[in-house]
Amino acid sequence: MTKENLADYRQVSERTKFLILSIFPISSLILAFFVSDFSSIANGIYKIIIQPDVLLTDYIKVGGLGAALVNSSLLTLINLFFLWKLKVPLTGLPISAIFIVAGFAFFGKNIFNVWPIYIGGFLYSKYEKKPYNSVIIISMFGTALAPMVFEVAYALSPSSFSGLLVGILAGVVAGFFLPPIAAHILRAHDGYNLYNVGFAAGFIGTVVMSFMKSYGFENKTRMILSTEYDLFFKILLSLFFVILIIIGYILNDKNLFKGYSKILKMTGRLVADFTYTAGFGTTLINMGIMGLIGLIYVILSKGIINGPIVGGLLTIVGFSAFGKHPKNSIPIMIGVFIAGLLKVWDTSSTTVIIAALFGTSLAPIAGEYGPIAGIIAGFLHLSVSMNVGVIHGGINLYNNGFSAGIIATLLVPILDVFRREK
Amino acid sequence: MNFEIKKVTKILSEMISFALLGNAEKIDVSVENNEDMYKLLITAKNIKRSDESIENLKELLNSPRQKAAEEYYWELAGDSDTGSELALVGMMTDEVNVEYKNNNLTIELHRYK
Repeated sequence: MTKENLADYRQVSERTKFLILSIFPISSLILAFFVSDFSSIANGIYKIIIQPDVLLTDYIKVGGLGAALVNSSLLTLINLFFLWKLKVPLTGLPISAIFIVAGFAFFGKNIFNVWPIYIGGFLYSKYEKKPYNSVIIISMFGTALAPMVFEVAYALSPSSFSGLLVGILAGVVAGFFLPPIAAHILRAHDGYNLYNVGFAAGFIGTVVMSFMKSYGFENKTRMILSTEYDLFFKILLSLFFVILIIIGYILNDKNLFKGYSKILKMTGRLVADFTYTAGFGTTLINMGIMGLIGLIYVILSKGIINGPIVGGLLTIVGFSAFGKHPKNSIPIMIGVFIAGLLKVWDTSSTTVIIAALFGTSLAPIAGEYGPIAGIIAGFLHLSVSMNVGVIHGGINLYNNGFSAGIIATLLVPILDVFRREK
Repeated sequence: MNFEIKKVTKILSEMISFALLGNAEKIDVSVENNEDMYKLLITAKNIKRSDESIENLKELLNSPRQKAAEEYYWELAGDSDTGSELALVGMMTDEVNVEYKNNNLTIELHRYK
């Protein structure tokens, strides 16, 4: 009475999956040493570590292209190593977690500030007597709160060791409590916000920042963005997305669309693991296609690719193994774009573009209730995402996940009313 | 608190919802709390579900056990029979057997501790 479909599900070995997911970080690592030398990279990583990480801090601008690539590469490879050692099968959920780490390592997560969150998650697993491999994914997502380490340290004392220790302790505490909070908060939006940890981290960040402000701390949000490497990333990312499609095509018995209709039929609502439903090859094809769609959106919006936009694109690619596909994501992007045209913001600005890319967190709404509902969700999401950052002071890197959680919590019961009447 | 009992009741709730949405006339639930696993047996009599729906149920319940997904998403299980929630039940169980004969549905689920 073992599960029937496991043979098909395991069509691709875990080793192969890990190798495929290592393509981007290893390529980034090699490229880093083509565009920069060792001392510049080391110096750049030092700059990345010692600066605040709140939104929006583009590591490409802060530490240079080479350092940003190495930071992303190392964080991704270390996380892949953790998953390998803990024997976590590379299904849709871990794939999305890997890509979100790789993406946000260009603006907010670095090889210094993420570890307290993992330690907190590890202590939680020990306290609950659970294997760490059941918690590590939440820790990976939970690195959204990595900027808190620096902010708390800075609030107490900008240069003291004790301030740093308290900052690290704050990260550990957040990492410890995140798993139960993230699981509980799902019920608010019923699985219609894919970046659920962003929603949970938004609440945690709000409480922490409000607490610090009540003692006179002045939070300074940032807008440090690079402009020099637009073409570099357009070429690098489009190549990577095409490679994903090619590998997927080969693994999918040299058929581009075999099983793709299975993905398109899914609403994307949590939990939608495409690697199981449609196979690993088809999932890679979807990831590549979604990456290209995101890239086309950036080009059509006349945006300039920088750290946050790279993060947005890689996050879309990751969640295209776990909920996102063209049918449920494009309506959200259209909604944000229309909102950008009609509201006070510029559609080519980084903040509007990342609202569209990360706004696809709401893709399950379009999947479940149709494209019009998706466009409405995207339209509302831009306004909320532009205004909620101030309450957590940018220490929750998944600001759009927080905004999407609010939108989904409010919109889903309303949409349900109309569905019933229909 | 490791929520083990809540998780088992969520799985049962999901299965009962599936049967009730198919207008089952009688639903019996049996739970064995063994040393190494929970053995859940749900039988629904005279259920009106299409063959496609039953095949879909079988496929989704056959999702492999994923402890990471379970840890994160288990609270979503239990309220309806959408594909995502049935897949979640699959991710929370190790073995499954679904039989459908003469409009009577039997689902046996094993969840190792």
